[in-house]
Amino acid sequence: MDKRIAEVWVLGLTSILAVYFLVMNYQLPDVGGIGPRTFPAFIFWAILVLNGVRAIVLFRDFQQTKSKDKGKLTIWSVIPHIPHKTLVSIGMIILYVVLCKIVGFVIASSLYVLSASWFLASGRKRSFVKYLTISVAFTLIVYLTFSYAFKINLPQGIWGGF
Amino acid sequence: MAESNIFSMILAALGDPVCLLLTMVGTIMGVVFGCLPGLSATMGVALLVPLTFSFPPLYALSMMLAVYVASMSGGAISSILINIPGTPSAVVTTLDGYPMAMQGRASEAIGWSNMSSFFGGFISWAILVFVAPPVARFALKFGPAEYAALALFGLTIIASVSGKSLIKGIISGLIGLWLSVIGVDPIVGNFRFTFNSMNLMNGISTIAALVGFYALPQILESITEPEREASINVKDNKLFYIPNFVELWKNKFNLIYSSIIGTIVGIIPATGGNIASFLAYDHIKRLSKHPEKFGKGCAEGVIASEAANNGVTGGALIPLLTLGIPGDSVTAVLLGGLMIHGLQPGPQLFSKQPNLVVGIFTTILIANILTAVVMFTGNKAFIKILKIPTYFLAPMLIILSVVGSYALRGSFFDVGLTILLGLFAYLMSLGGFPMAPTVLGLVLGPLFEGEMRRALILSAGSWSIFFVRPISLVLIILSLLVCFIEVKKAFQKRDTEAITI
Repeated sequence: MDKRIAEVWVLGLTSILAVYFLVMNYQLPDVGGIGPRTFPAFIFWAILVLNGVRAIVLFRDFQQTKSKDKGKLTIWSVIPHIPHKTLVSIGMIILYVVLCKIVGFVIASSLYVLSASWFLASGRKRSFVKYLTISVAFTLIVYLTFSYAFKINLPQGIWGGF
Repeated sequence: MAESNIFSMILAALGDPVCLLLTMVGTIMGVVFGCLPGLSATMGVALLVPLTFSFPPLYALSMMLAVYVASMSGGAISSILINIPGTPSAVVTTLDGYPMAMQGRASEAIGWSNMSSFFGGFISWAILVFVAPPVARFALKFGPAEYAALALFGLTIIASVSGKSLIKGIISGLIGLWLSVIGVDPIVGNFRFTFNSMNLMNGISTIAALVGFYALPQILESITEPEREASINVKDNKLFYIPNFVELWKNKFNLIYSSIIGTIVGIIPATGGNIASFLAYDHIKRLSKHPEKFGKGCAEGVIASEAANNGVTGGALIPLLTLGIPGDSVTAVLLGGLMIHGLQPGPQLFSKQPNLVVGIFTTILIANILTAVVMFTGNKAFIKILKIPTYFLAPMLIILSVVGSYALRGSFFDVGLTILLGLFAYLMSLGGFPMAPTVLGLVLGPLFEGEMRRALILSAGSWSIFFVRPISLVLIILSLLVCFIEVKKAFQKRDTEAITI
């Protein structure tokens, strides 16, 4: 993918957030001298200035490669071309976290490892029993290690009351 | 802490079986993280920080340090067997290690790599034990002005670890500093940028940031990498080779010289194992009677590279433990791990918690010994590990990341924050922004701001306090020098690229 497109996103997001934080920063109490506002203000202004510099460099770069990029780079191509596999994986991670909160760690993790590995191995010879065994075994090892050895309570979800 | 007492304390610390067990687990984990391309020592340590949070500090540090030490050695396995360096510091090992494997001498290459890794690690450990206490004693003279200048010097490392674009590196560092100012103000105690959320009152969770910035992007990137299971090339089945005494004696100069180069490079911030191994390899090649053999399967090349990159471990811990300044991403994550346990590395650590410091020294020694044992005996197992497909490994690592971010406070807010930061970090890595500056900014930001403001309060607002104190002045001059050199390098690079185009 074109690195520059992802960079435009980073610069855009950080600039918008920096402006928002800068406004919030000036709402903090002014104690005079080097107070709670000073260091954050320096950071946000520095980010805005450097983002501006990078934006100029990028703009010049886009201008130089305009003829080459014609037809390839449109306003919509500012959306980064993240590989399909990665996009689906990100969706699965988010779904896993939501599911983990609802049904608890053991069920959500077993389902997640099973579905994610099944999806990532698409195009290969796959055995459902093997994948299921690995998913459940891994989840149980993690659960038992954390619950009993590290004494950390992992999410119980709806089973928490039982 | 007198040096004479250190060794008796080390002997006492060796008797803790739990510590030994955890170091062993960390060692195995480190070798695995080192040998699997796509995983890294930084990621291993970042994942361990939350997982070991409930442990006493020494136990947690034992595992983290063992991962750090062992991953340096583990990187050589994939370098030798599949010509893909497991860690950046094992790049040079591929030059001679892989040709040796292709000639049916994989066992010899791995044997030499293990032995030289042990030598490098041991020599750097010895230097750490002798050098760290006097440096820490000297650093006891530091006040707020010196600490602020030191943190500033640490922040200038951002320029050196920026990679291809200096501006992108500085932006990454500023993002780290940005995350560090969220939460309670270090001097007056105001809440800053907390959005009235209880979860942000204590600031951005260091664990969420470490896992988000170091684990998630790497896992997401590994998903689209080609599988490596088919490319393992082992022609000899023995895979067990220990160089004998005569061979060791013949290579004594290489072993010692490369280890010392590694340690010195390790002490210098923003360098690391890859620079050390390149330097040592180049020096040994020049000094060799048969330089033409290098790059064609010469054991001396493997020795130089592995002794040097393992030598870095002890060296890099000197500024971290004595001054609280991390030199690279792994030590920055280690610093985060120490801070999560309520420890602030620096001279106070040596004077207030000498037992912990000795425990750390002991752990590093044990980790070096155990790494050698594990590497010599577990070659066949590591070949099997190299065959673990990414489609199983990636989801498993995601589970560990989620568990790690949840474990500290039992909060889904931290999990959400980890994923949010992880996705942003992934976008950053797609855009070519380096991750190391962000972590450096995150861990050094509070120290810099807090100490700078304390110094200014002491001097009634006069900035001259930073220039009238000699240590502070020297550190500020050094910081300016580093900035000047990096800016000059960036301009030279830009000119060279312009000429090339």
